[in-house]
Amino acid sequence: MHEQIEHLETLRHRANIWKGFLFIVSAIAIGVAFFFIFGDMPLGTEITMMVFLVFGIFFSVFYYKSQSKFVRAYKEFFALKVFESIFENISYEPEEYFTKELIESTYITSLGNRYSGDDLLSASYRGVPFQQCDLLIQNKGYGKYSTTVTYFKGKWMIFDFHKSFQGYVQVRQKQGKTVKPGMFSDKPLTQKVAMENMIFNQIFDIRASDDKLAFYLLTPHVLESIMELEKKFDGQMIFAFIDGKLHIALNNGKNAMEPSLSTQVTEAAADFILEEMKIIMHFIDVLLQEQVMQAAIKAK
Amino acid sequence: MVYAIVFGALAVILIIWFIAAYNKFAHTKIKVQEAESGIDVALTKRYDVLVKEMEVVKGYAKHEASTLSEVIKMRKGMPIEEKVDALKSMDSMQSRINMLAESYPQIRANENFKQLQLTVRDVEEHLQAARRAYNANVTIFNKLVVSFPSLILAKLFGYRAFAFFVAEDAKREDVKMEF
Repeated sequence: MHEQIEHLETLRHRANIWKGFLFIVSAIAIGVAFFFIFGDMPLGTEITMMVFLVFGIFFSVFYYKSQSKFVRAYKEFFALKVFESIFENISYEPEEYFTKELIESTYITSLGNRYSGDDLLSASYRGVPFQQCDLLIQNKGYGKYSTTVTYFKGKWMIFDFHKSFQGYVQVRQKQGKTVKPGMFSDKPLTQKVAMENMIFNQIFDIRASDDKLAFYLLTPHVLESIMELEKKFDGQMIFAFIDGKLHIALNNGKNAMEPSLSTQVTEAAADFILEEMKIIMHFIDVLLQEQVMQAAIKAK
Repeated sequence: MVYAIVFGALAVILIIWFIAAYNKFAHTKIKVQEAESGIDVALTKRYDVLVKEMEVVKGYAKHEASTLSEVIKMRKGMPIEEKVDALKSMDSMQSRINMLAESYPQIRANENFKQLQLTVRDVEEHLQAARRAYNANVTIFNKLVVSFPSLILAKLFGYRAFAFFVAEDAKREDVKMEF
């Protein structure tokens, strides 16, 4: 463990050194360019600029490579270490993420014109299969002033739900960071549903293709658990139950598995990743408890 | 002139409120009726499964079959109180079937019975959902009936509060869970 952290620290320092070189070269190049434009052009300025340009490209390539190497090593070590300690049947692809078509089919968020992600994890917890990845969905406007609006930045999780059903139910947290709403106009069958829990109705909006389906899936126990999750985690939470699957989108503006070059690598990084995994563990625990509880009620 | 405008504006506001409140009543009443029909469907399913279970049990426990002779009253359009009674009778019958199944391992081993037990669980979950949907819509409707100013409209059109589908005492108790 200690050796691995030392190795990661070496990689981080190396990336920081290249970053430093790149910064110095860029600063000098800007200074020279300033003289080139506004001052008397000394002899050989063009050559000097060319030299700086070559060095700039050279340092950029090395910086990018060393940073990628550090990030990859960090993820392979910490993420895998955490995953292996709690999940089974792990398949982890740091560069992969859910397809745009899959996310579009959930009607949770608009997709804008910039879509990217990473850290696709497929695994199972207590026998329940799930998948998750980090996503960044933005819309860049090109007008007089270019603006970038972030629709979604955070974690997206998909579970196999323990009840088989056909239809659509969405639970959307009203407060918190706003996610641009999904296109309900394309989903004409969705109607607003009010649960018997008034506090839940104040915090969340519920829409469903059939209100009986909403009550079937959102049992009092599931409602309580969703409220517990809402208290525990920052950011807006959206749950979508679609044809036997449960999607949980946490728009918290974070990417937990992305290390920072300016932060020292310590063992605490594993705790941070573990904290993010608690949503999955919590919800699967809830679903399994739900099954046990239904069986207990039936047996009475 | 000014009085006429004020009076006209008030009349328009009143008409808009009247239409909105009437539609709210009508819409919620339909939702309650829909939810009640959901309860009917779930109760009928539960009854059908229970009858099938009884047939299987009677095949193995001929002597104890008399304990399963309770009549469960089910008819179309019965009021919610009678539905609650029907559900209580079904619960009582289910308990007796479960007790007999405990005494006869052959019943528990019967594939048809196992399948029916799984169906019972699913039907009960649907019944619970239908009951909650009904009660949630009844709450909204009953609030309109007793709140001012919508109670004026309720009196005018003779709307009365709906009865809740009250869960039986046994289901209200805490469930002991073992993991």
